[in-house]
Parts: sequence; C-alpha cells; structure tokens
Amino acid sequence: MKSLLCLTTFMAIVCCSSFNATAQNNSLFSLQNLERERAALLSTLTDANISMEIRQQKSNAIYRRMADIERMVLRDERLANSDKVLVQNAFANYDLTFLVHASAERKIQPLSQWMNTLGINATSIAQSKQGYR
Amino acid sequence: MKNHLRLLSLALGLSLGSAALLCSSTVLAQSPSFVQNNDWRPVASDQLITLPANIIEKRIEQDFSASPMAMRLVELDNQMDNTTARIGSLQQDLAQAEGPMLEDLQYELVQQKSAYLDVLQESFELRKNSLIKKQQIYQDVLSKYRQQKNMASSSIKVQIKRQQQEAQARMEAVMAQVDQNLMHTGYNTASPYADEYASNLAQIDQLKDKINQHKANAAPTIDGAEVSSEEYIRQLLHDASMHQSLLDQEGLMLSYMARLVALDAQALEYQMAYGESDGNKIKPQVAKASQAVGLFL
Repeated sequence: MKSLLCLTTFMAIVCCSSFNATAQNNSLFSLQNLERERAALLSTLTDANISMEIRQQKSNAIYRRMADIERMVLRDERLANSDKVLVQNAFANYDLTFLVHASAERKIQPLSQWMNTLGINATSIAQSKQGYR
Repeated sequence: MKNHLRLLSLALGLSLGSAALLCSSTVLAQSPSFVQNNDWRPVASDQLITLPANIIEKRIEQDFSASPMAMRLVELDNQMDNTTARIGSLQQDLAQAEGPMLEDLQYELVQQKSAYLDVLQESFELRKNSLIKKQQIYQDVLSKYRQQKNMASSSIKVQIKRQQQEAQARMEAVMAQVDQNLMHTGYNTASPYADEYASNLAQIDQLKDKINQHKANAAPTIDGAEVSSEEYIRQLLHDASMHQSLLDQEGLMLSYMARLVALDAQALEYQMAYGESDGNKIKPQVAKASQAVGLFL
C-alpha cells in the first residue's frame, strides 16, 4: 500500500518535473522564434537591395517556416503558463503576431496585412516627415 | 434507607439531566469535558483539497474512524449493548419476583436504565460533536474550492490561455487556406513538422481518451449522475445537516427517556417510603364523641 502511494507520488512528480524542466528551459522560445522570423519576413519584403526574384524566393521560405511556427505558438501550452508581457501582447494583437494566418484570413499578402493593421498607407507615407523621435 | 437516599438523588439527577438534554438538543455549542478527552481535530489542508471530492469524503471518514472520538464511540456502543442485555434480563426476572426481591430488582432496573442513559448521552454528545466538525471541514473544503476557482479565473495566465484558445480556433479556420498558399508557392508536400504533428495528434487523442475513461480520473457521482467536486461537497454538507436534524430529534427522545426513568425512580422511592399507593389506606383512629355517649347514659 505504502509502496503504491510512493509510486503514484513519484510518477506525479516525474510528470510535473518533465513538463516543468522543458518549461523552465525557455517558455518563450517558440514565440521568440516567431518574432525573429516575422522580423526577417518584413525585412526581406521591404529590402530594396535585392531583386524581385530573390525576394520572392526568400519570402516564400520564410512564409513556410512562419506557417509552422505560428501553429507551434498557438499549440504551445508553456505560453499559457507564462504571464510575461511579451505573451500578453502577442495574443492581444493576433493580426500582427500571426501574420501568415491573419493575412490568409483576409486573403491579402502578409506585408499588406502588416501595413493595414498598423494603418500605414500611401497617404500616411506621403504625409510623413523625416526627423528625430 | 440507603436505597431510598440513592433513589432520591437519582431521580433528582435524571430530572436535571433530562432538562439539560432538552436544551442541548437545540444548542450545538455544548461540549462536556468527556468530549474534549476524546477529541477529533480534522484540518482542511491544501493536500486534502487536491484529492477528488469522493476521496476527500473517504479520507475524512478514515481519519475520523482512527480518532480517539470514534474509538470512544465504539466503546460506548459495546457498553450500551451490555446494559441493554442486562435490562432485558432484569425485566424478565421482575415478572416472577415478589416481596423484597421485587424491590431490589426494581431498584437495579432503574439504576441500569440510568447508567444506559448516561452512556447514551455521552455517545449522543460525541456524535453531535463529530457531525459539527465534519460540517466545519466540508465548509472549509468548499470555501477553498471557491477561493481556488476565483483565483484561477481572475489570473493573467487564465486570460492568456483563453486568448490562445481563441487564436487557435481562428487559425484552424484558415489552415487549409495557408496550406493552399504554400502549394501555390511551390511547396507541394507538407513540412516535416506538419507531418509529425498530424501523426502524433492521433496518438495523443487515444491517450487522452484513455485518461478520461480511467476510473481514478472519474468524476464523483450522486445517484449515478456525474457531478462537479463542488456539487459533491455541497451534497455532503446537506447530508451532514440532515443527520444533525435527526440527531436533534434523537436528543429529544433521550430527554424523554431520562424523564421517564426519573419518574420511575420517584415512584419507587414513594413506594419504598409509603408502601403501595392504591388500596390499603391506613386511616387514623379518631375518638368520636358519639362513640362515648353510652358511657354517660
């Protein structure tokens, strides 16, 4: 009876610790990965120094990786156990965080999704002024 | 004379006892000294709250049955059984007894009934006390459940979890669209992650089903219907309240029994002091003037 109880407790501890060990490793890993890929996508799409063909090729590869990473983030239970501001902001701004799926939802390009959500259009760009913030 | 004095004190004691019982059957705060020596002090610990509700009940019952209070109750039950048997045999002997033997048996019968009531009263107080403690612990468990529930529903983590679920539902609606976009860009096969995830998902679902069907994970039931832990604890509180009400009624019965024994003792005392009350009345011989008239004629 006593050994059974020990075994149950041990298994419960093993289950918790195996989950916690990975969680404590870096609970924000998938989200940080997504942030990096998104930055790379926007950087590629706005890079004026590369040809259209290379831009397309690079952005397609990033798009594919982002589709996977966005799904990983949305399925990542470690994020739900985190109360970090990064996580709160990520889920509060779905349209900006999950650029690939949000753009597919509206049937537009990820860059358009990004600019529309931030309210950047031709008029606002024309009215903008250069200067120090 | 000795018996006479004892009976007088017994009658007085039982009258007071029955009055006290009538009061204690409605007031729950009574705790005689004998209850304190056979105490049971359950605590709604954090570890207890983590158990399933039906196991909490079993754990509390187990804890109670190992307590000095429960042991004393078993002891009292045995004493009551012995006294009941003795009263039964005395009542049989009484039917055949006569003269001084009858008086002795009547005296012993009242004494045994009084002893039985003393034990019954102690048992009654202990049961009442245990019920109050069970009620208290179930209330503590319920309030801790509610506290946990409130804390869980108001935390940032819960809010993030909810947002994640909403986002996941939104994503699943456009997953096919994204996969189609990928095919248009030249990626005709699914990514290694998507492949592996899909195959693992089916196995995860099987494991989840197995966990849900596991008897150790089964929800508590009331009358065959599955209920939440909170509802189960509420039902336990309802049961405790029902038992308390019945115990109050039992207290009333006990007070009437004590009153009856007190009346028996009083009747026996009068009988021993003044003889049988009906029939042979001793009339004092008073000299009447009419009886002496002849002497003067």
